[in-house]
Amino acid sequence: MYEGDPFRAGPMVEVVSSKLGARRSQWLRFAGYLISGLAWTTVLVVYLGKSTWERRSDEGSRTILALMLLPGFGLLVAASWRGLALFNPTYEVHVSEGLVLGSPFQFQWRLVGRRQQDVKRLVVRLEGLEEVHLHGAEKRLEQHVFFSEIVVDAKGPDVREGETRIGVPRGLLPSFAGKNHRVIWRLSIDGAIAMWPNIVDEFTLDIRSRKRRAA
Amino acid sequence: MRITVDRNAFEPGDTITGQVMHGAPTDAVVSLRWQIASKAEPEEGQVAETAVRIDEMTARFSLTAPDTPISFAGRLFSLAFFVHVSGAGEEDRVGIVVGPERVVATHPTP
Repeated sequence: MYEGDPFRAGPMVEVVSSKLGARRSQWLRFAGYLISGLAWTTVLVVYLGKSTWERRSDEGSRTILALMLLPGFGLLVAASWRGLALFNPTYEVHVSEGLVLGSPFQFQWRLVGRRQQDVKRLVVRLEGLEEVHLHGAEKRLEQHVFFSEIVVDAKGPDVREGETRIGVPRGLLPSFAGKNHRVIWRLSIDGAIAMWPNIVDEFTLDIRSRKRRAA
Repeated sequence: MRITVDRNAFEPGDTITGQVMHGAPTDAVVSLRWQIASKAEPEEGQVAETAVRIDEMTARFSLTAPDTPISFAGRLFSLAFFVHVSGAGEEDRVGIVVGPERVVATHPTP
């Protein structure tokens, strides 16, 4: 669809995945689940085997120990699922420069990496949300999605690369980043792969209330 | 010390004008600030500031409304602008709106 790099339309800017850091730590989380699952399961299996062999415990205790194996198996299943996701391809995203509420912008996507042919469907949402970080006794993150619209629902070759024009309504909250308060605009990507973890990614956009003035 | 503005709503980039009043000659600082109201810790910022000299009871000031942030009213928090004056140990403030079409941005109407 495109000839040469970067994407032909311009001026466009690449948007870096908001989950880039998370992507790096995916290996750590995978290792964490794997080690915890193996440790939990191994200790219990050894203990269960030994107590059965030595006939030290009754049937009831062995049943309880066997049930305690379930969380270990759960961790191993979670590790396997996270491990599979490590082999997913990723999306590269470009958008028009200087995004403004009320003005449509160009959005281009391209799949990079192995197993691209396995991605069967791509759904992209444009979302606007408020975020408040509460501290103190009730420390938590509160979120409210005030805008959510599917901007791409593609199958076939369009899953690998494509472009579209996205409209953003005017009069809404523009991007804002305070210390404890944020207004976030983002493109949420969900690339469906059959019998495999989906490609799930987010790209934060800086959408202003009007065009930036020249300095 | 009192402060008034010539109008209460501005587009980003507009010039905000008004006057400060005080009974005796003094120096004062006029600033454009925003404040967030929510369940979280209060948050405040300043986007412009100017010094004025009040010689004969009043002095005029002018500030520029920023491109960002703008006034908005969300469900979890809202951001409001005000023009603040301080001097001679006193202070005063007046609320204004900064936003496209001079209105407070909000959520889409269902």
